[in-house]
Amino acid sequence: MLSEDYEKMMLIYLSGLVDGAGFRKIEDLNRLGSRELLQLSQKVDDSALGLFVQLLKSSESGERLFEKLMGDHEEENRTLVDAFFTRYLKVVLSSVQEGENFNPLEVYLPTHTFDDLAFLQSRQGFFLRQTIDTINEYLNGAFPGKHHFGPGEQQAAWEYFWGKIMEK
Amino acid sequence: MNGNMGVEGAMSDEPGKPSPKTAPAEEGETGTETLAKPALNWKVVLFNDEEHTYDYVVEMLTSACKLSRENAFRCAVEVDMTGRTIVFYGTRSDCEGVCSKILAYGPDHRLPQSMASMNAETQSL
Repeated sequence: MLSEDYEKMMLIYLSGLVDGAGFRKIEDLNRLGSRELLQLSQKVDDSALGLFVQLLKSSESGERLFEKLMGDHEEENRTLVDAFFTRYLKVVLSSVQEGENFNPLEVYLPTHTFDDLAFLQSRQGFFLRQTIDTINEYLNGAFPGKHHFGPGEQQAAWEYFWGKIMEK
Repeated sequence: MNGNMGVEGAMSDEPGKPSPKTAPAEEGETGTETLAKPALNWKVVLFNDEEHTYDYVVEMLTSACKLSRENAFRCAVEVDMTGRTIVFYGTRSDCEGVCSKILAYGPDHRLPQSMASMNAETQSL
C-alpha cells in the first residue's frame, strides 16, 4: 500500500499528465477506459511506473483496473498492453542476475548466514536448483579445498554442505 | 489439457488460460471403443503474499507451469494487484501436479524473511 503522501503526490503527478479534470482520489482513475488508462501509463516516467501500479493496487477496484491494463482483452489495445507490460517488466524485475562472475549462492547464501540453520535449511530447494558448476564454485569459496561434484549430484553436494555447516 | 498447455504460443490473451485451439489429443479413440476425454475443468489459483518478489513469481511460474516469461510476469502483476491469479487450467490430476510444484518450490532466496513457498490451490471451474 502506498502511504498517503505518496498517494497524493502520484495523483497530482497523474493529473498533470491529462487534459481536463484531474484525479482527486484513486477511485477517479476508474472513470478512465482501458485505452485511456494505458495511454496514461505511457506518459508516466519509468521512475514512477512502480508507484503508478502501486496506486492502482491501492484502489478498491484493483481487479477491474487490472482488466483495463490487460486492454479489456480487445485486439485494438494489444500494442498498448504489450508496451506497458514490457516496460513494467524491465522496471520491476531485478537486473542483478548476470555478470561473468555472478554466483547466486554467494549472493543469497553468504557465509555470514552459516549460523542461522533455519535460514539455511529454508534455502535447500534454491541450492538444489543450481548447476553443479555453480555449486562447486560456491563450495570452493566457502570451504577449504577444491570440490568436484559431478552432474546430477546436487543432493550429495547439499548433504556435504550441510555436514560442513553442522561441523562448525 | 496436458502439462504443456502453458508453453509459449499456446496461451490466450489471458495469462494462464489456454486458447481454444489447444484441445487435448484424443488419446482414447481406438477403433469402435471411445474413452471419455479427460475433463479440463480444473484450475490452479495462486495467492498473493508479501514474502515473494516479482522475480520469484516469474521464475517459479516459468518452471512449474511452463509459462513464458511474459505471461508469468502478467500473472505476477495480477496476483499483486488483485490478490490471486489463475496460473493453469487442465485436468484435476494435471492441476494437482502443478499445484504441488508451486507448493514445493521453496522460499524466495532474495528475501531473508521468506521461509516458505507461495500458496496455491486446485479448484474446479
